[in-house]
Amino acid sequence: MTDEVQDNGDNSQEKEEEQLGDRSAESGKNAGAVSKSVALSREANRAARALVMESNKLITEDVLALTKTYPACNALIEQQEIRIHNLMKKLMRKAGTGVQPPKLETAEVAQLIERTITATDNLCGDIHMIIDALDKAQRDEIVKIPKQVVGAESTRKYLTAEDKAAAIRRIATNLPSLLAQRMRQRDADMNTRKVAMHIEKPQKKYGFSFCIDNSEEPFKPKLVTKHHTKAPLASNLTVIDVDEGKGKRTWQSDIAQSLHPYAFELEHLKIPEQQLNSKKPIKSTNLEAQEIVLVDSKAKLDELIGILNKEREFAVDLEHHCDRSFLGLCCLVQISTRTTDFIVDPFPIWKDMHALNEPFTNPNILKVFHGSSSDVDWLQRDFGIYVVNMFDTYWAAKKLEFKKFSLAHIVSKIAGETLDKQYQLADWRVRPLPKHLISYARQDTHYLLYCYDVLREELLKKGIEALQFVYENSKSCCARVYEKPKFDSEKCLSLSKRQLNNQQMHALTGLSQWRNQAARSEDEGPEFVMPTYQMLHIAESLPRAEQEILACCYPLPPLVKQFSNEIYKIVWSARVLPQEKKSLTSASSDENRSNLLEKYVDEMNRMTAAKALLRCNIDFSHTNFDEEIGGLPEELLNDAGTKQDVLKKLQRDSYLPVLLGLSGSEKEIMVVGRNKYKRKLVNSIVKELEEWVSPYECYQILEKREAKRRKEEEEKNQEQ
Amino acid sequence: MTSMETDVASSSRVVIPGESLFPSAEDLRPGKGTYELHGHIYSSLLGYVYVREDTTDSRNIRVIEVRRNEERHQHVSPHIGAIVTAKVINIGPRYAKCQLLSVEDTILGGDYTALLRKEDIRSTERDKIEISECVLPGDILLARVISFGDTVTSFLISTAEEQLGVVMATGETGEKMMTKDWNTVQGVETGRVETRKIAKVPNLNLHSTTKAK
Amino acid sequence: MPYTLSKVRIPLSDLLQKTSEDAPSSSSFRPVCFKINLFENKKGSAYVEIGSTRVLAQVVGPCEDSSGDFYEAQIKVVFSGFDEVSIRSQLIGAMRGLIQLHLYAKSLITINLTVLADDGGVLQAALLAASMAIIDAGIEVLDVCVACQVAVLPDKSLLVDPNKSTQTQAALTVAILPNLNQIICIDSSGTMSLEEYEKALEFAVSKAVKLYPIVRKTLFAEMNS
Repeated sequence: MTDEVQDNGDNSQEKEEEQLGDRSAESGKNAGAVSKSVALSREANRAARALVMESNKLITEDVLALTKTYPACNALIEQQEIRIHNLMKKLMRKAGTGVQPPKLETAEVAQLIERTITATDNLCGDIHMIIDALDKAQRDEIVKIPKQVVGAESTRKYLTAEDKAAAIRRIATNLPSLLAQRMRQRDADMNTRKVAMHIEKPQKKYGFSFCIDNSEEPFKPKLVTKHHTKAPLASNLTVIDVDEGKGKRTWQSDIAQSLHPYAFELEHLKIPEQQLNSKKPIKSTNLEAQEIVLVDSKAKLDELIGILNKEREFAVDLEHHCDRSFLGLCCLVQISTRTTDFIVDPFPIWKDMHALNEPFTNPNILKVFHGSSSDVDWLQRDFGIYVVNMFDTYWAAKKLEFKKFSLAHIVSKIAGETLDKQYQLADWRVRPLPKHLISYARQDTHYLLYCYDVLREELLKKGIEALQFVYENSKSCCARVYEKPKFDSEKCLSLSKRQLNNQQMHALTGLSQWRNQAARSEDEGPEFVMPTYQMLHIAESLPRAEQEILACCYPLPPLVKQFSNEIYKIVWSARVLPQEKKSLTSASSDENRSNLLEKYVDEMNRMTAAKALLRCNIDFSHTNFDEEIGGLPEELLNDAGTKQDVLKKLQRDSYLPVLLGLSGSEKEIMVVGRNKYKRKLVNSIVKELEEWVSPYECYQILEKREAKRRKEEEEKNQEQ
Repeated sequence: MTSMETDVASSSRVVIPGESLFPSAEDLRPGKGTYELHGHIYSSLLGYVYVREDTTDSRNIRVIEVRRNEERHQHVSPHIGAIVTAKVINIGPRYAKCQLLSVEDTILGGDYTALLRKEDIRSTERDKIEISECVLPGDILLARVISFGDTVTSFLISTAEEQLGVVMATGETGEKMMTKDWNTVQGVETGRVETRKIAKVPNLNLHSTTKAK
Repeated sequence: MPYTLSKVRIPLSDLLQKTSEDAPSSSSFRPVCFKINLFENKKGSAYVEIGSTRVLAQVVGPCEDSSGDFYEAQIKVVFSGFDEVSIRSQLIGAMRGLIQLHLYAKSLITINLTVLADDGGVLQAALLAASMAIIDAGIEVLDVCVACQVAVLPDKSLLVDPNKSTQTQAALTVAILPNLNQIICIDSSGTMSLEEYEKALEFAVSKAVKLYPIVRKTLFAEMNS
């Protein structure tokens, strides 16, 4: 009857409500809703339990037949049926399941069950959608939506005409501002990207290109004065050599380049007390309230340094550009204190930036970074700035086992603000800096100090070792020494995913080398000089004419146009190479092919680690396949020690003669004795057999002749 | 058969399998009948030790081999890339079935069959080939093993190089044919001319009058 | 059917149960006799006689096997005159460790073993015979294989090469490659404790090595003849 139906419906419903209660508990935003839904699900559970208990008390099938004979019972049953049916109708409609119970007169139990199941399924479906949306919101970065936008409301749920009209009006009024804002943003985007091509290179404009060394020489540290020293700089780098006849000589140690100037200080860094103690986190000020100070002259820089020297901690971030510079350029340094956000434009003050070393290497001032490994490299490379005493929020997030380790996630989790990440890949060399870029840049460091406070508290709750862990890892980031990228011709060959023949490989290597050199001399990024896919295209297709080369490169990079002659020469030299046929075996074509068996055998017989594992069925766990093992002792090989142990039986005592007798008489021996003629015939046959050259031998002779001919040609060519 | 080996130094030293011949060194190569393990070159056959000089690769390498008797190796297996001498048994529309007689210069002991596919006979105009114009049953070919084949087909061989192809032909009427020029063979007795895919290998048996094997 | 007349006299007592035989010494084998290359044909063959156990092995191959693996050869062992399935699998396993299978791709090596008489120690005789036949056939192997069977008697002492009539508590057959110091086959039956097993294994290995000079001499004898 209807009891099973109710069971199903309520059981699944209570399960869903429980789940919903759990999920909303996780999102942690509305505490009120959480407790409400948990209480709701508990109540639903209780009600369902009570229902099941009651329905179990209902009479069973066989007793029902008897009771139906009583008219009073019949009437009661019918009355209850109508009541329950009305209840179900109302419930299904109010819950929005979109299903109605079948009409009472024509209803069958099966139909009823079906409808109820459909109803609960629809409910479950809706609940699942909500849960999915909540999950998705948690997983994805919460993208900042400008406050003016009103989400388009679906009009299908509106039953009355007025509601519909009101909704349409709302959207219409917001439309101009919504669209306009979107258009404006898109324009700004386009502008920042277009400008990339027309920006005058800051290296030339501000005249610091002499500071940039793109040569293959190892990187020379740019440190000018060493502040806060604990060990003198010179002693790390110079070696004093006392020679008998020549007196004292100071050699610049060649390990200087790989030494960090502050290695000693970093090793002996003692974290200041105040960084290890627990303190209430100071919330960052409102974005509108906080000042932005643009630092772009020496005077302002000195002012900044003065301020920073007095601070106990400040947050740092860098913006970097690598398209139009071989090694890369730092375009912006963002520094935030508790009260002010500073944006440092390094281009006008490039040579003076090293003065920032004073606060940066002060072991009593804490610098807060996020993801500092590349920042430290860039500071060293461009300005010669080193960092001592740093806290990297990335390591803190890792230690605290956050779900994600990005800055945006940390800031959203701790400070509750969503960072707008759309300008991460913009060209930061544009001057003057547009307002939206400045406000984007300051956001990166604005919340960082508050995040540091909160993270510190969390780490201290875990224990002092957790905090030490973060400081240790931050220290090793500080100890990084910048190294220039080296050109590796092997790596460029691995760029291609396809098998290349020798002409293509030659072209690819040549082009990579040219690209690297051009990038270094023009101070452009290699991808800007010639994108990798164009390089691969040229190498694979080996175009014949200069026009074809230019056609391969679409869009045409300016440097390719400028140096198209060079490129043409490289491709031509590759085309001229004789094409080596890839033979089936690994033997190169000009080697003696008849040696293949030897090579094959050699390959088979020489053991390597892989072969030892795969082919040998014996056990190498005690000695490796290439380690010596002791040989058999000599006595074993002789008879001496074994006379007592093994008796030898005489052959005639064994069955051997029986066996041997079987085969002995079947040998065919040609007896060519008396007949002289026959003997001569036999001899001539034998002689011919010996003189006959087998096909393979003919082949070998041919090979040898070819090899000789080729050798002679080579010698002739060398003489010429 | 004339021996093509040069500089073979034989010793009267008999070795049994497992005997350590020499400790491994850069200029020693374990040849046929030996293997290298645990820093030594061991013998894997019962026979005599031979040391051969090999001067390709502009290095002087001594190859250690163990052989049962002086001339030939005992058991070889066709491997990929090897030049084999094969005899055509029968031909079909898409391939020719051959029996492998020898791998390089060692006569095969067992019965090895190989398939010569239509597209592997020539390297040019591979789709317009008629098998009966290139090989006929009874021909002796020089070919190269290109694949082990799978469970159904046996080895696959190819004559798609200039120096590979028919070396001795048997004509349609069963008579022996000698190569006339780059594309044809001519019967010795009747003078009948037929086309084959001929190997560009010098024929050094022109004076011989013995019948083909 | 052709037959040959031989001059071997086989005393009747040999064919009946042996009662007058000396008690086997605990540390030495019964009298052995090995011979290889019995039939002057291309196939390899070997004959092993240990006491009254006589085994003949013949090797055919490597033959082409189109359904074989392309990376190693297949081994087939055919027993006649003996009915023990386990011995066949042990033998195949041992041969796989002995032969350099990767040199004979897509080939089949067939080992035919005929047990002419069984007086205990068939597996050790079969191992010796098979390995010597393979060496005779010219198939590349890693080393000579020597095998030995020891028994653990009810009084916990160890006996080398027991014959069928010995009452044993447990028996252990071991095949080793002496130059590479590797064991390629262990076949044990009966019950023994772990220490007894270890002792028996050590004992068996040390005794098996004693067969090495005999095998060596046999092989040399063939080359020199």
